[in-house]
Amino acid sequence: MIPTDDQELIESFQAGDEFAFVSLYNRYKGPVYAFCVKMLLSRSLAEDVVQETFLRVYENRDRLLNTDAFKSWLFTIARNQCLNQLRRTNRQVSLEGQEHAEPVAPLPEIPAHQLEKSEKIDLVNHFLAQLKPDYREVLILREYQNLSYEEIAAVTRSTVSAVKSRLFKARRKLAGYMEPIMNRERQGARSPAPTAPDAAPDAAPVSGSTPPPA
Amino acid sequence: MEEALNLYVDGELPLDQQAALFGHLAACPACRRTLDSVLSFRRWSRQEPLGVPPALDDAFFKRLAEHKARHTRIDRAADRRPLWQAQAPVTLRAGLTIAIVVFLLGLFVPSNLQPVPARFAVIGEEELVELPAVAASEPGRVEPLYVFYPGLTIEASKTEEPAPGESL
Ligand SMILES: [Zn+2]
Repeated sequence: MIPTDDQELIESFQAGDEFAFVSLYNRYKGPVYAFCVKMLLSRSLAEDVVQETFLRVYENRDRLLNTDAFKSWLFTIARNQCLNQLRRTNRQVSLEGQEHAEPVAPLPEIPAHQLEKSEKIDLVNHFLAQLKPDYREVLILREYQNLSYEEIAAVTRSTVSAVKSRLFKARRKLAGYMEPIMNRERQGARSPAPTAPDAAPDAAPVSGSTPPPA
Repeated sequence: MEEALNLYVDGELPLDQQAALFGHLAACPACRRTLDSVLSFRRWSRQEPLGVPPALDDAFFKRLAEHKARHTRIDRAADRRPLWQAQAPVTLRAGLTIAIVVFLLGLFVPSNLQPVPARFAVIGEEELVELPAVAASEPGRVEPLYVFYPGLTIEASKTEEPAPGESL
C-alpha cells in the first residue's frame, strides 16, 4: 500500500534525517487534518490536534518498529488526540450545562438534488455531529481516508468484525438521518410538508436508486 | 443483505455475490434507499475543501523548533545521569540507615501509643519509599518491622539486633 519512498522516508526519519520528517509531514498533514476536522467538527481544534499529533510522531519515532504500519500508527495517534479533545470539550460543555456542543440546524426543506454545495457540506457535518464518536471515527476513516477494514481495526485498536459492525451501524444511522431529505428528493420539490416516510412511491424513477456499475 | 450492501459500497463484495445483491435491490426499496443515502453522503462529503491552512504549517514548525530546544536540554540532563548512578550505593545506604533508625525508634515507642500513620521518606532524588507504620497492637510488644526497598527487604524483630556492620 505505502509507496516505497514512503518507507525510505520513515527509515531516514528514524535515523535522524529532519528533512525526511518534513516530507512525511507534508505528505500526511492533509489526511490527518481532514480526519481531525471531521472528528472534532472544528477547524481551530483540528489545527491544534494536528500539531500535537505530528509532535508525538516526531518524539516517538523510535516506537514505530514496522515502517509499513506508519499510516495506521499516525492515525492512531491522531485518533487518540481527537478523543482526548472531545472528552475535554464534553467536560466543558457539561460544566456549562448544555446538551449539545453545536446547535442542531434544521434540515433544509428542499430536495437533495436541489441543495447548494454549501448546504450539502453543512448537512454532512450535521449528520456527523449526531453520530457517537465511535461510529463517527469508523465512518470518517472509511469515507474520507479510504482506509481498509484492517487499517481501521489497527487505528481503533479493534477487530475487523467489530469495525464492520460499527461501520454498518453508523451507515444505518446515517441513512436514517438522511431519510427525510432523500424522500423529498424522491417526491420532487412539490411537497416539503412532512409525510409518512414510506409514502414515497417505490416505482418512481429515481436516478440514484439504481446500483452504480461495479 | 445489509452486510452485502455495505461490503459492496466498500468494494469488498466478491463478484459472485453481486448478482444476488442487485437482485435484492431491484425488489427492496428500503435497501435501495439505504444505498442511495450512503452514496449521496459519500458524494457530499467530498465537496468540502479540507486543505491545510498555511498558518498551521507555520504554527507547527514553530512548535517543533521549541520542542527540539527543550529536547536538547533534556539530552544534556541525560548526559549527567552517570553522576546520579554513582550516587546510587549511597542512596541505598541512606535507605538502610533510615530503616534502622525507624526500627530503633520503634523499640522505644511506648506500647500504648496510637498507631503511627504511614511515613514517607524521600530517598535519592526521584524515589519515594513508603515506610510502614510502626504498629503497637499489643501492650509490651513491638511488631516486627518490614522495610521494603527495591531489591532489598529487611525483616527485623524485637529480639534481633541491627547488623553491626551497618552502622551510620
Ligand atoms: Zn432489503
